[in-house]
Amino acid sequence: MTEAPTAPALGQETPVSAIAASLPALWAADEAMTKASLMNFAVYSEQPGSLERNSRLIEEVVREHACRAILIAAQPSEEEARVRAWITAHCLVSGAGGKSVCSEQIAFAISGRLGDALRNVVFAHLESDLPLVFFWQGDFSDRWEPHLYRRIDRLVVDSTTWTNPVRQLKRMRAAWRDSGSRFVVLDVAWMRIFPFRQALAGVFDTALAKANLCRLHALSLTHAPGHRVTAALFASWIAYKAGWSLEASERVFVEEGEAPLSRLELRGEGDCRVLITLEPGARFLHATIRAGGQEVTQVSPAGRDDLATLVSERLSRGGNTPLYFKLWRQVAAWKLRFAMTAGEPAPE
Amino acid sequence: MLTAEIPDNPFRDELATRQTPEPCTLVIFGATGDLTHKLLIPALYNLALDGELPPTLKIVAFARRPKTSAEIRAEYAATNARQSRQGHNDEFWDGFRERIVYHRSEFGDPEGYASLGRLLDELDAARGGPGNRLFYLASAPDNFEEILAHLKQTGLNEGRGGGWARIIVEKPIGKDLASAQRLNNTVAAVFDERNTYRIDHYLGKETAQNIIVTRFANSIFEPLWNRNYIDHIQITCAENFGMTGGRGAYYDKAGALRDMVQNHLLQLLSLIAMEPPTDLSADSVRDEKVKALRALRKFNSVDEVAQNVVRGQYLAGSVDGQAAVGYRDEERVDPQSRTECYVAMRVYIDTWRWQGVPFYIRVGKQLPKKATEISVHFRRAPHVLFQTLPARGRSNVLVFRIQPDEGVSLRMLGKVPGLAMRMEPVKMDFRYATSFGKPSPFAYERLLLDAMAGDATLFARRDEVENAWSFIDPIERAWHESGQPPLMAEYPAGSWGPAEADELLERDGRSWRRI
Ligand SMILES: NC(=O)c1ccc[n+]([C@@H]2O[C@H](COP(=O)([O-])OP(=O)(O)OC[C@H]3O[C@@H](n4cnc5c(N)ncnc54)[C@H](OP(=O)(O)O)[C@@H]3O)[C@@H](O)[C@H]2O)c1
Repeated sequence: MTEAPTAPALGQETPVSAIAASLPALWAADEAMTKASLMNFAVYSEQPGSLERNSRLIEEVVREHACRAILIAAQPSEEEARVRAWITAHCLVSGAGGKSVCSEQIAFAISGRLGDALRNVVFAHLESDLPLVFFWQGDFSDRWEPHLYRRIDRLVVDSTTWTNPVRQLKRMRAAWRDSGSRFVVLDVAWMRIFPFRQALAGVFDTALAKANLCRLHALSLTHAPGHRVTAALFASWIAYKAGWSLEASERVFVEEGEAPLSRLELRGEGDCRVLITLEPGARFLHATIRAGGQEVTQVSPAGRDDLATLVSERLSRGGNTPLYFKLWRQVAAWKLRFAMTAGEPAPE
Repeated sequence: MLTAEIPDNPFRDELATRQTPEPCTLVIFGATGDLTHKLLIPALYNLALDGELPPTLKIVAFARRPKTSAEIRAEYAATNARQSRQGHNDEFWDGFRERIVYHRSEFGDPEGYASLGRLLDELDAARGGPGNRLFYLASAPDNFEEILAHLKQTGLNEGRGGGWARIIVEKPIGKDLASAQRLNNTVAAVFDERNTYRIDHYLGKETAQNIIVTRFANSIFEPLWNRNYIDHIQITCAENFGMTGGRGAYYDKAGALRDMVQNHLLQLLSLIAMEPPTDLSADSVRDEKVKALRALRKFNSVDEVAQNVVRGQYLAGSVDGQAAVGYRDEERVDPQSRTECYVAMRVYIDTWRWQGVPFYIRVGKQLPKKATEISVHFRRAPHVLFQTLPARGRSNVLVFRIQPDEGVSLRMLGKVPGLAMRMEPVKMDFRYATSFGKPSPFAYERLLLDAMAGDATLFARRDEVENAWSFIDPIERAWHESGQPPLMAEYPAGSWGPAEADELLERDGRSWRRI
């Protein structure tokens, strides 16, 4: 059976052929509503229950990024081949004039071996002239194919959800090359690192840290189970930026706590040390720089690590895809084992 | 292990897509004042909260009252809690406040500057790297000269160890051309022009910056942006309040022309009228703006002023459902005042592009709404096809809403559905609030960051300010120095200004846009 959502979040069920005609009715009812859209935002998942989850995600994301949202849940293993669709709108009262600003959402449940349906439902329902941002959730499957990815402008992924990160990465890079470097990759995991990157940059604005940068050479990162990818990307970035090789003995990954990243320690000769920590539930990172008997402390924003905030933030910032792939090459060379959950090694 | 040479701070790259503000010490002269409490500290706090402020930035609060750093921090905390764009977080404030140091001194006391120099050296040493200093003149303009002279005497106008020293100057920059030149000369004797940042907070507004983007990043507007297609342009800055909060004392000496037109409105006009710059560097943009200001046609006689400029004062009336007193009955306003709180004018820019296109500017207090908008009124399509239809509302109008409800709209004509050929104006509307949910940073946040990054694009250059004054001065002289000054028009508070302002446009067969 096709996943049959009952949650009202998905709106009214509509025959696929009637979607284009039904969408305007969402607006006709209320004069105080105005439609807004800056992009097409497609979210694809093969996980059960993803439509409701992603509808809630869109509800948050549209606060900052008005869009035409297209949610697709695929269940390729289902017997019956069919496509069901629902339409709704996410509205917020905007500051000026008390008008509701609304983003349209079309949700599709595709079951069975309807391989072509994904491409078709996406392309048939795009708003013209606006870019296509595609959030591919989880591992790339057979449906990740050239007719689809060659038309994407920005690809959002969350590398922490990949069962075999290095293999997935290779697949994504191959598609990127095949598309003529057409799409920009936005990894949500990269956003999780952002507050720590910002804090680290702040640390090295100080004379104390700057003067001792060359004495530092060992890195230890503490991350929650399942977030080794995040930690590894961060380590790779630090090594790249500082010009360090970070030999195996100089990089330590500790799996502990609930925050994707909760602690960064750089160690060097003598008492030279940089420590950035995030206490459980805290809103701010605390950084300490110690060297030559001196100590400096700093506080900086910790950001939020819920998916909606991360996606929103990620969409607000540009992406440097060549650098991203370069960092991954380093991560791949380290031959780390990535566990999806604590103690459960992923197949290499 | 280390394998490559380390640049300055390798981890700073790519964190933001803008010029990175450099670590420095910000010295605020007049740190117990209104501007510092209400605008500067909240701007700095919000920048820090967004992670945009260099973490090693220190703030030296320079003022004369005996106070400790702990006391000023507590006072700032109280106002920040009321003013901050993103609210006030005690935990974050506790870290932020450590950046603030109070330095007690009279502006005229040389020892105060010597000790300031020692304090700055200590802060530089603690931070390391070059001694970058950003001075902010947040005091009354009467004090600027004294402060600058002392900065020079103590050598604080130079950065230390390869660093820079910059000065931010608040408005008003003079009250006429002569005083502006005097002030600019005083500043120039102490700081190079490239280190001088004259604040005009209108330039820090998102929509003011969007004028350049709309004009030059879209290929469809620039070909039409000239006398062949544009009939006229209107710039309105309406305020729906009067002399609240004791502002009468300052305002009655300045008036609307000096307070708003000389700086903010002429800045907006120059952005609308300028030629495309060769690049987006500060000087390229400002070179073009100043050319537009220089081409403003000056009024050469009292008569010309009377023909082209309307000044007015509000009488008692009603605003927002409240009774409002007349201007001369306002607190701290001279009951015989001859100061204008409303100005409307028609100006021309004598360039190839704008020959014959009038720019109508109006600004006033106690008008029905708070709104700053620029509207570009295009010429009507030839009458051949639709001559039987009424002409009113038939032209295309492109509107930049600077505040509030920032955005851009375009009025076009569309056919009303039905068998008859009927047209109605329809509006295509882009609203920042709708399209970009994220609120914009306040103007002062952007401008402080730009000054730390050494980007002067959004600050007024000396020649811009002085050219603006040379346009304003003849009007002030006609009003205040001639034997037969043009009349002072009147309007009830809460209305759209004096009838004389409407007549100014009606004489040209035009009318003010409805806002
Ligand atoms: N307030 C605003 O919203 C605003 C907006 C835009 C521009 N501005 C401009 O910003 C500037 C400052 O305005 P403001 O409203 O903040 O003025 P203010 O409230 O009068 O503040 C003036 C400051 O200067 C200090 N001061 C005056 N004489 C001094 C002396 N001899 N020695 C040491 N300190 C002295 C005052 O200290 P005391 O407290 O001891 O008197 C106070 O800290 C003005 O140029 C104004 O035009 C203000």
